[in-house]
Amino acid sequence: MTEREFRLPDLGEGLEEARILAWLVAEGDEVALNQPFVEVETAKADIEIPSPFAGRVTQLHAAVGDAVPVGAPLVTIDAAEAGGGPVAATPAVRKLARELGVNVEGLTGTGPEGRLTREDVERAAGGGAPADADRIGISAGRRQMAENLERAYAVPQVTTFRTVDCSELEALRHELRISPLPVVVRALAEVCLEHPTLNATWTRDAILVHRRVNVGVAADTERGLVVPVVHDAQERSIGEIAADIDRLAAAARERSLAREDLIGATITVTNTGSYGSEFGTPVLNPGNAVTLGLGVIAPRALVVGGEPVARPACTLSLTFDHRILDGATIGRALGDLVDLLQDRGRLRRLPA
Amino acid sequence: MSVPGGAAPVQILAPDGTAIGDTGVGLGEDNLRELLRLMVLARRLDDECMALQRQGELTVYPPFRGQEAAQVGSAFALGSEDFVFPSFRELAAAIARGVDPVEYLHYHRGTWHGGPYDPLAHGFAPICVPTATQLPHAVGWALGAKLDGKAACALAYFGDGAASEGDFHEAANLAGVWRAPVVFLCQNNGWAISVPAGLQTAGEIWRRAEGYGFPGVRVDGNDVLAVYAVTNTAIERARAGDGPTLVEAMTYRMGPHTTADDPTRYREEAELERWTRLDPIERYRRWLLATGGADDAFVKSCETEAERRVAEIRAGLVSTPAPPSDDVFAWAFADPPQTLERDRKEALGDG
Amino acid sequence: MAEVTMVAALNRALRDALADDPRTLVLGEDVGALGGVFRVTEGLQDEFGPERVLDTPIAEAGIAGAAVGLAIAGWRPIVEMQFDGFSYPALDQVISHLAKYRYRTKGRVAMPVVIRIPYGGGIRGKEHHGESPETYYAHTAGLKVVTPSGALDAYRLLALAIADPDPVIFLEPKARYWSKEYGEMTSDGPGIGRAQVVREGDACAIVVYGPTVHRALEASATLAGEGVEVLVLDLRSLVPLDVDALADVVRRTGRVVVAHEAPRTLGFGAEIAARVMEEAFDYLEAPVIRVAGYDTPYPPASLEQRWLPTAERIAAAVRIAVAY
Repeated sequence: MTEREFRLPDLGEGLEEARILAWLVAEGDEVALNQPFVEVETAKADIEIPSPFAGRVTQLHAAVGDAVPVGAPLVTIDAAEAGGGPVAATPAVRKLARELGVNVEGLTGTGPEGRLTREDVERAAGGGAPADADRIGISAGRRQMAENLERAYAVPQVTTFRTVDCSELEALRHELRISPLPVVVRALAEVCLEHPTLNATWTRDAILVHRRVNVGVAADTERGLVVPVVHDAQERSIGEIAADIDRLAAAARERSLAREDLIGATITVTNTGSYGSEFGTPVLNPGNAVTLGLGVIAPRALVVGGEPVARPACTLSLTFDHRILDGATIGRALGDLVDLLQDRGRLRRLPA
Repeated sequence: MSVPGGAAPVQILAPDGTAIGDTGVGLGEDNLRELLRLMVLARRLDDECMALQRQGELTVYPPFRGQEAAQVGSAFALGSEDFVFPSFRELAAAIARGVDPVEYLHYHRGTWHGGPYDPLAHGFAPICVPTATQLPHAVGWALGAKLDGKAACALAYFGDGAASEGDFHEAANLAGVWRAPVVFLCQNNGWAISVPAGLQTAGEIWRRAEGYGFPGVRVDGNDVLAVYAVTNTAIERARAGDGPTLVEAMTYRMGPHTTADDPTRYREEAELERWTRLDPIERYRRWLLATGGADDAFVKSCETEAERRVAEIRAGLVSTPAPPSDDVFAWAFADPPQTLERDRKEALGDG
Repeated sequence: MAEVTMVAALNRALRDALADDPRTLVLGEDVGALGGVFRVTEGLQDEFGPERVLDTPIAEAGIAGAAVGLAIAGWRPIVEMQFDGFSYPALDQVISHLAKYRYRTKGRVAMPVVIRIPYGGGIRGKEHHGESPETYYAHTAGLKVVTPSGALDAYRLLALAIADPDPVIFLEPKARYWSKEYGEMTSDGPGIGRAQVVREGDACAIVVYGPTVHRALEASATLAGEGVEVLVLDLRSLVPLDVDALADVVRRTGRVVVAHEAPRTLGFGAEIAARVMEEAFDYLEAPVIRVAGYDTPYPPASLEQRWLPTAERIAAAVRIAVAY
């Protein structure tokens, strides 16, 4: 730490003095490089002067109202390593500084042993928490999820909605003593056999149409979203899928999912109805062409045979990769899915 | 023919070329002439390699001058299924075994380790420098051949110095316990760089075999017929399943340890003169000529052919290019680690 | 599927190899009639005979050299060195020949040899019976170096090592010989050169192998109670090293503690630290911390718990990393 004295410069065109209008810092304050520390009045303008050093203000050399001649001392700052050694900062913090366009040299670190922290960098970038906001740290897991979502949203995707009369679905799932989700997963896999481009991946060179329907089933855990996979749903019974979903959900909660459980999804289902959502715009799982959102099944007034009746119903929200699929194809596929779910015969021909 | 094991080395031809033992070693006339041809070629090549080193075409070269009979005579007894485990001075044995000398000499040119000839095709292992370490290889190979039920034998060359190394003793003991079909052929050439055999060991090397449970025999290493006979007997013994033999061939290293060595610093000129009178090629040529096994024309043709062959080898050697840069990386693993592959791509500028 | 000890798993891998490949051979001191001082080769000589399972004289250099010769003759020898500290006499043959023969012959003569070595301490052994020599082998280019941490992976890795065309030094953590796992013994699954995340977490990554994996898991349980969830990465092979997995755990956690029994200086942790820096520098929130044996000879039994990287020392290092 070295004491640096800053003298009033010629602020423009041969001015000889400036009058102190206001001090923006007090003696003892920490000041960052380029932080405005005093407001002065010249013959031409009122000007804020930015600090040429980072460090601690040790002495203000004039009072408000004083006229300070050009060249006279204005402030003394105990500068942190001014012109001296390099700033201590971890590689991750330096990377952040590069990304925010912040020069770490000249910054004062508030971390242990004067190390630069993320907050120091964010503050220098003009960010950081303003006085009336609280900071919530971002965990590596959340950061990873954010990156994944940013990647997912780069894909052109559109969501379309269909309402489903869930009478048959509810009847079947109650008989089988399971939740509606495994039935929907099995029905979706069935529909993929007729409409295979729903079960595809866009790559630079080709659209890969997968032969196996591996359904990712989004699950919310206290550490964020995970999407374990039910493999080969097209070959398995509703009961097997239900058992698998239970197993995966339990493993997700206990954080014991195996790597095999998390890879290979070719299409994804998200059961947003489980927390009451009616419909939404689910995000595509990177690598998938379709995410199907299953809304809450609840009584609604549907028009059947010209008359309003109360039926259990839900809305399916289907987001699709518009590079692979178009409205017409999805319309047909979704229509087929709705028909399958609503038609007692077709629904019960699915292996239980 | 039994394997004698007395203190006097087995000898068939006296230094002046007269027969003092049974010259009926089982070789026909053509083969008897072939022994001379090979020894003449070997010596001529050895001289040429010394010159090539002085001309910068070889980096370091260990000459075998004086040891032609010990190497050619022994190697001549090998069959196609047998396997040689050399040290680093067995160029004469390599020639007798049909290894391409240009490939062998790549080792001394610095263009590849070991000599990049195919060891499995020739039954001749790569040049081995760490002293005596080839001996356990020979024993392991011999065990492997025995387990495969092959009538085959390993021939392991080593020197008087190598006989002091732990690997010699471990290999000999293993060979005895396993009754491995291996012939340990020690060329006692009197010197291990600058250390004379008298300082290398207090005992006699051939006698050590008894301690390991198999026969040892000492032979005049400059007598090609005796070397052939003794080695052949030992090889047949091994192939028949009777186990190892230790052959100590008494010979002399007439040249330096390598081209980087100056023997005038540690040995007497008189000793060299004495051994020159015991020259292996001279003695054999006299016997062949005296007994009508060869005539002057044949002797001359050996020399002429050696000249021609050596010129070919020289030409082949000096035109050998440096190996491609990829060779640095290509041979380390059958299935290289990813980290090595990355280094390779970066170093070679591809990918 | 059954409960199986690491010894039993290794025994089964050897048996399966001897049964499936008539060119495999087992050789070493006391491996035949006795079945090995740790019983890893128990019953093999009875089943396959003394020409497939050979009791050798005490001659480590000779045995290793003979393995080279057997490989030249087209066999696949599986050599046992009785203890870590007794593998040293064979180092010349391993370094000068086993590692170099393929290179020297431009691929014409392969060395599909496995050398199995019980290693590591923590069993109150005598002097020379608790060494961790992995650096010597990992530093010798041309060798692969593999070390399982549990019974089922021991089966897998030994089966894969025997089938590998390159020479493999197979280091068996003797302190884990009697540990048990429940499951199927199969060679399916992650191969040599793949590390395995054995515990998920985001606060810090503990990079370990062999006998130290279970100590890392103990430390993780303690830390979980403090609200710190650590990731544990079992390297499984030191050469080839799974640098992608290493980079991935650094990206996910930002912090690395590497722990091993071998002394700190030039222990494998030094390589991990260097690779982490090379592969994922920008993601480091704290320096790589090494928890290792001290730079002294391995201590006597009564002091070894003061020397080894215990769960407590590992947890302490994680706390430092997390608080950095």
